[in-house]
Amino acid sequence: MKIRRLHLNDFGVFRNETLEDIDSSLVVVAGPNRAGKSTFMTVLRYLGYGFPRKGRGLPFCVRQYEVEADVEANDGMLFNIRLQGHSKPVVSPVNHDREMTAEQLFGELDAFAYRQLFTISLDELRRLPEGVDKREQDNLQVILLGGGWSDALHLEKIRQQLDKEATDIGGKYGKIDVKQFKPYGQKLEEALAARDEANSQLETYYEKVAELQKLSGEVIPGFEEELEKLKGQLNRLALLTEYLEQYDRMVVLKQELEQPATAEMLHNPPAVTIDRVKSVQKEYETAVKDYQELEREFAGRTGGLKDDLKDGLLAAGDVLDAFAAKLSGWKVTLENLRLQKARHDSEGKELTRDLQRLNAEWKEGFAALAAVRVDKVSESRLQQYVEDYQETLQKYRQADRELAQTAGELRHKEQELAKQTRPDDGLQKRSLLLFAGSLLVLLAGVIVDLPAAIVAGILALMGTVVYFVTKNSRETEVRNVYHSLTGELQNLKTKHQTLQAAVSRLREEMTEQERMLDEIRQQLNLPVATPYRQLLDFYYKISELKKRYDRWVDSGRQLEEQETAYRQVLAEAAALLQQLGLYHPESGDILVHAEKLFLAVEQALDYLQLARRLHEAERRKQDVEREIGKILARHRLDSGEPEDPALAADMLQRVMERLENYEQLKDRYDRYQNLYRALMTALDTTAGRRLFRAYKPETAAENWIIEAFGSLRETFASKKEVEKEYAAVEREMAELDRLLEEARAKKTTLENEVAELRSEKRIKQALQKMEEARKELEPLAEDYAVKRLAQLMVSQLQERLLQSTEGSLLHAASETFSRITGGEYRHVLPPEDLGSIDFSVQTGGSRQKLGVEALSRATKEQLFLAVRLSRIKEIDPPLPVVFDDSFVNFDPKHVAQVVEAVKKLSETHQVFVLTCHPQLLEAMQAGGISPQFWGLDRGRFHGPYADAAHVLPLLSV
Amino acid sequence: MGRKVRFIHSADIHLGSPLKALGTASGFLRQKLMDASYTAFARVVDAALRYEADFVLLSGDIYDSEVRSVSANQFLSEQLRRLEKAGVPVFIIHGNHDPIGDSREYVRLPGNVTVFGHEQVEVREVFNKDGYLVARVLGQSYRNVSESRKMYQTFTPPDDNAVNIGMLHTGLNPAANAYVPCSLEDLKSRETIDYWALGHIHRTSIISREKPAVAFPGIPQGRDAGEPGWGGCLLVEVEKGKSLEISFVPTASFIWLTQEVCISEAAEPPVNVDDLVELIAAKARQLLNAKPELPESLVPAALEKTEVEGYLVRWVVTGRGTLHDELIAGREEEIARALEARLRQLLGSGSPFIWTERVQIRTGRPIPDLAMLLERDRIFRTLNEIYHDLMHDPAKRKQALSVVGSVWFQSKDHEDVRRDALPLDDGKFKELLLRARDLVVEKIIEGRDGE
Repeated sequence: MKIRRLHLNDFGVFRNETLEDIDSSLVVVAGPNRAGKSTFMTVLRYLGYGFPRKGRGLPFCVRQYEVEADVEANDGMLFNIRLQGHSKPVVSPVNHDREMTAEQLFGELDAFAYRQLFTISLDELRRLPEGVDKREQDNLQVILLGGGWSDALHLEKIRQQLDKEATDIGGKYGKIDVKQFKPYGQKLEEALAARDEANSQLETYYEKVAELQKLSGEVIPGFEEELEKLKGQLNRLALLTEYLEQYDRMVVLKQELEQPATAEMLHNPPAVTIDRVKSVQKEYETAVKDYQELEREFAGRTGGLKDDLKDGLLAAGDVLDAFAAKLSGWKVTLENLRLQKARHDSEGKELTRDLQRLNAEWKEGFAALAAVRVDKVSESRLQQYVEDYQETLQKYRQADRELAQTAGELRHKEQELAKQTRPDDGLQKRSLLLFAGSLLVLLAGVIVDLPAAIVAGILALMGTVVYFVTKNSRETEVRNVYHSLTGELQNLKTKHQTLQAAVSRLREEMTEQERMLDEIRQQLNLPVATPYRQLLDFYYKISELKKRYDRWVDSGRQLEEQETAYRQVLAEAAALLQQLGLYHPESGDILVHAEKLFLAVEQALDYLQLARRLHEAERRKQDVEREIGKILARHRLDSGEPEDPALAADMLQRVMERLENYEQLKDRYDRYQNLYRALMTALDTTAGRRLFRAYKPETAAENWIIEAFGSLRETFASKKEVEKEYAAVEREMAELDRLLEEARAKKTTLENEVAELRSEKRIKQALQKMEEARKELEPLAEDYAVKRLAQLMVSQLQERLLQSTEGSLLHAASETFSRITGGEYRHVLPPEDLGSIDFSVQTGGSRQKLGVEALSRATKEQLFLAVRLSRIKEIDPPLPVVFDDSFVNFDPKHVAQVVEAVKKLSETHQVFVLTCHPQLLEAMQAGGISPQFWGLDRGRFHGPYADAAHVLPLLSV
Repeated sequence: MGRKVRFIHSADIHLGSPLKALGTASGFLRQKLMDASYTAFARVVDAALRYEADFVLLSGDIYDSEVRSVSANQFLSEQLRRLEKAGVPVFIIHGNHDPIGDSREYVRLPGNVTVFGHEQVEVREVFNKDGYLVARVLGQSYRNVSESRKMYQTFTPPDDNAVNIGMLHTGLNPAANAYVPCSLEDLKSRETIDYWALGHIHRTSIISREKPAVAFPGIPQGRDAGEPGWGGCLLVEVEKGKSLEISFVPTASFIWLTQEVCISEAAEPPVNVDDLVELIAAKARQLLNAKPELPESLVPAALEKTEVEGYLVRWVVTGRGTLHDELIAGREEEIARALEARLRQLLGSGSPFIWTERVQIRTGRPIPDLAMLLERDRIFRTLNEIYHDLMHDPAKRKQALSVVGSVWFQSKDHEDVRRDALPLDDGKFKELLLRARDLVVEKIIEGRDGE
C-alpha cells in the first residue's frame, strides 16, 4: 500500500495542507525543528486506524481533525481514506467499485504493531519505547519477533499456567502422597493395608483353626478330666467328712454286737414286744376291774345276784329287745282302742235316736230298719211316679176349673141373646116403593107440566131418600149384634163338651197312679197316711239311715277283732315276764291293767342291759387271760397257761424283764443297722460307687462300698485332717477351674475369630475401598499427567519456535544488523527468556555474545532498527514506513549504511524519511535511488522536488 | 488309537476376586457381582460335566493373590470334588497369582487333581476306561510371583503317539521376563506337542490352530473394564493326527464393555445433562439390540446359549461442543457422578440389564476444524509433530513418561501391579498424550481469541 495524496486540515500546525503526487518509493520530508514533522508522522501512524482520543504526539485542533488520503493498494487500485475527528477511517474506492476496508489495506496489522514496526522515531529504537505499558511490552515482543511469536508469547503463559495447575494437583513430581493426591493416596494406602491384612487372614485362619482344634481337642478336655478327678476326690472327701463319725460309731457298735452271747440273743429275737406285754398287763387290770364293778351293780339292782335271772334275761334278750322296740307302740294302741270303743258306743245311741225320729211307729228299732226293702224300690221309678202323678193332678185341676168357667159363660150368653131385638127385613122394599111413587109424581108433573106436581114430586123424591138413609143405618147395626151373639153361644157350647170329656179322662188316669204309689208305700213300710209327695223324701232318709247303720255294725265288728289281737300280744309278754318272775298278772281283762304290764317290761329291759354289760366284761377278762396264757406259753416261762389267772400278772412281769434286756441289745443293733443303712444310703449310689471305685477291694462283697469308705477312712487320722485335705483339693480345683474358664473363653474368642476370618467381607471391603480410591485418584492423576504432558509439549513447541525464529526472522535481522554495523556484529540472537525482548548479539570478530545492555546506545538503536527492518520485510502487504530522525545517534559511517538499507527497503516499500539534519539529506541524495523531497516549514509543505537543494535551505536556518 | 480326546481348558479364574463395579450397586446385584468369579468357575465345572470331558486343565492363576479367602479355598475344593465324583481328572499349574512358593493354600484337593510342581516339567498320562493311553499332560508351575525360566524348552513328550498337551502360564512375550518369556515360534518349535494350554492373558484368543495349537482361554468372568467381552473357557476335541476342534463355552454372567458416546456426532447436539442421558440411553438401546460378540474366530460349543445376564458398561463421553464450555468444563467429575446415578436407575433393571460402571467425560471446547489446523497452521503443525515424536520416538517418549508423575507406573503386562501407583500402559499413555495435545490446542486458540 502506498500513499499517493494526502490532505490535512485542523491537525495541529496543519491547515488545509495537501500533498499531491507523493512518491511511491522514497519520500524525504525536510524541515527544521517544530516544523511539524512529528505531527506529520502522527498522521501517517493513525491513517489506517483513526486517531485515538488520548495518545502521545496527538496535536491540538480547532474543530476536529480532518485527514484525507488517496492510497494505492498492492494491485494498483486507488482508495480514498477519510478521517474526521477520532472516527474510524472511512475507505471508499476511487474510480472503481471494489470495496476494501482500512484493515484490509493495512494487512490486518494492528495499530500498535504498525506504529512499532513502521513508524520509527528514536523512541521506537529504544529497548522499551516510552509510553509502552506492560501489556504493550509483551505485545512488542510479538511484533518484533513476528506472527508465530504471538502464540509463542501465549505459550509461555500457557506453560506457566499448566505448570501451576499441575503443581497444585500433584506437586512437582506427581507423587501420590502430596497435594491433591494425598487424600486418595492415603485412602489407597489404607485400603492396601486392609487388603494385606485381610489376605493374611487366611494364614491366621488356619493357625487359629489349629489352635482351636488343640484347645477343643486337648487342652479343655484335659482340664475337664483333671477337674473331674479332683471333683471325685473332693466329693469323696466331702462324704468322708460327713460320714466319718457315723462310720466310726458303726464300727464300735459292730465290734460289740459281734460278742457271742449277744449274737446268740440277737439271733433269737422274742416273738412279742415289750409294748405288747405292757399293754396286755394294762388290759387285764382294766378287764378285772370292770367285771367286778358290774357284778356289784347287777346284784344291787336286782336284789341279790341271781344267775338264773341274768341267764334268763340274756336268753330272752332278743324277745325283750323286740318288746323294747314295740313298747311305745303298745301304749299308743291301747289308747286308740279305748278311744274307738267310746266313739262306737256314742254312734249307736245317735243312730237309735235318728231312727225313732223318722218313724215313731218303729218301736222295734234297728229290726224295723232291717225290714225296709229299700233295695226293692228304684229311686228313679219312685221319682217318676210321684212326678207323673203330680202332673196329672195338675192337669186335672186345670181342666176342672175351665169347665166350671165355660158353663158360667154359657149361661150368661143365653141370657144376653134373649134380651136382644130381632132385625127388620121390609125397609128396602118400602123405600123403593116410595121412590118409585115420588118419581112418578115428578114425571107426571113434568108431563103435565104442573109445577106443583113437579115440586111435589121433587120434594117427595127427596123425602124418600132421607127416609131410606136414616132408616137403613139403624137397621144394619141391630142385625150385626144379633148375629154375633148367636155365633159366640154356639162356640161356648162346643168348648164345654170338650172339657167335660177331658176331666173324665184325667180322673181315670189319677186313679191308676194312686194305686201304684200305694203299693210303694207299702214296700217302704210307711204308714198309709203318708202323703204321696213325701214319699220320695222318706225314701231318701230311710236309705241314708240304713247305710249308717250298716257301717256302724261293721266298725263294731272290727273293733272287736282288734281288741282280741291286742290282748293276745299282751298276754304273750305277760307270760314271758311272769316266767322271769318280774310280773304278776291281775284278774280281769288284761286291757284294763295293761299299764302294769308295761312297767314290768321296762324293768326287764333295764336288767337286761346290765346283764349284758356284765357278760361283756366277763368275756373281755377271759380274752385277756387267754392272751396272757399265749404270751407265757411262747416264752416258756412255764409249762403253759397258769392255772390261776391271778398269777398271770407276776409271770408277765418276768417276761417283761427279759424283754427289756433284749430291747437294749436290739437298740444297739438297730443303731448299728441305722448307721450302716445310712452309710449305705449315702454311699451306695451310682455316684458313690463311681467315687469309691478306686478303693473297691478285690473280693468285692455286695456292700463293698462301706469297706472302700473304711479304706479311705484309714488313710486319715482325724476328721480335721480330712478337712485339711478337702480345703487343699478345693484350692486345686479353683485353680483348675480358672484355667478351664480361660481356655473356654479363649475358645469362644477363637471361634468368633475363625468365623470372622472365614468371611470374605473384609477382603472384599478392602478391595472395594482400593477400587474406589483408584477410581477417585485416576481422573486427578490423568489431569496431572495431561497437564504435565501438555506443559512438556508447550516447552518443546517454544523451543521449536525459537529455533525457527533463529533460523528465519533473526537470520534476516542479523544480516541487516551486520550490514548496518559494517560487520562489527554478525548475529542477532533471540532472547533467552521468550517473555522478554532482550535479544543478544554476537560480534563479528570474536563471536562474543553480548546482551543488549552491553551495547552502546547507537548500536542498540541499530539492533532494534535491524530487527524492525527484518520484521517489516516479512509483513505482507508492504506498508508505508516512516523514519522520524531515527538515525541522529549514528555516526556518519553508520548513517550511510542505514541509508543504504533504507533505500533498499524503498524498493519494496513506500518509505518516508523525516529529518532536520542536512547530512542525512545529503546522504539520501547521494547514490542509488533518488528520493522525492518535500519541504516543511511551520505546517506548510512545499515540493515535491527531485533535488534536496530545494529544501536544504530550510535546514540551515 | 483314533479315539477323540475331549477336555476343558480354563485359566485365570482368580477365585473370589470381585467385579470392580460394586460402586453403588446394592442388594441382589451387589451379591451377584461379588460372586461372579465363583459362578463362572462353577460353570466351567458344569461344562466339563455336561460335555463329559475326559479331563480339565486349569492353566494358572486359580486364585488371586489380592483376594485370598477361606471361602475361595472351600469353593474350589467343592467344585473339584464334583469332578472327582464324575471321575474327571483335573490338572493344575500355578501362575503368578498363586505361585507354589508363595504360601501353602490350605485346601485339601481331592484325589482327581494333579498339581504340577515348579522345579521341572512333569508329565502325567491319561488313560481311557479301557486302559489305553489317550493323552499326556505336561506342566510346570511358577515358583514365585515372577518366573523368568524359559520353561517351554523342556516340554518334551516321550513320543508323539498320544495327544500331548503342554500347560504353561505365560504372557507369550519374549521380552516379558516376569511371565515365562517365550514367543509363538518358541512354542511352535515343540513339534511333538499337540496343544499348548496357556494361561495369563485374560482375553480369549486362539493363537494358532495348526499343530501345535496355541490358545488362551481367557478369564471366565471379566472383572473390570480392562477385561471386556465374553468370559469363558475352551472345549477342545482332538483326534490325534486328524483333527483339532476348539469351541467356546461362555461362563461369564456379565460382560464388560467400554462405550464411547461422542457429543459432536449427535444428530442434535446435547445442551444439558438430560440430553446427555438420552444420548447414552440411545447407545444403550443399540447395545441391547445387538448380540454380544463372541471372542474372535470362535464358535460356541454345541450346547451353549449365548445369552448374557447383564452388561457392565463404562461410558466415555467424548467430542467437542459448546456444551463443554457451557456445562461441563470444570465439573466433569460432578456431571459424571450425576450421569452414573441417572443411568444406573434408567438402565439397571432390564433383562439383560446395563449397569453403568462409570462415566468418564472427555469432552472439549469446540475447535474449528482441528484436522485442518493441525495441517496448515504452523504452530499446530509443529505441535502435532511434537505429539507424534513423544508417542513414537523412544527417547522422547521416555521424556514424556518422566513427567506424568510418580502416581503412574509404566505397565508392560496387564498383571504388573504396583500398590501405590496407577498402571500406565500404551493405551493409556496414548490417551493422555492425545488429551494433552488437544489441551494445548485449546489453550493456544484461547490465547488467540483473547487478543
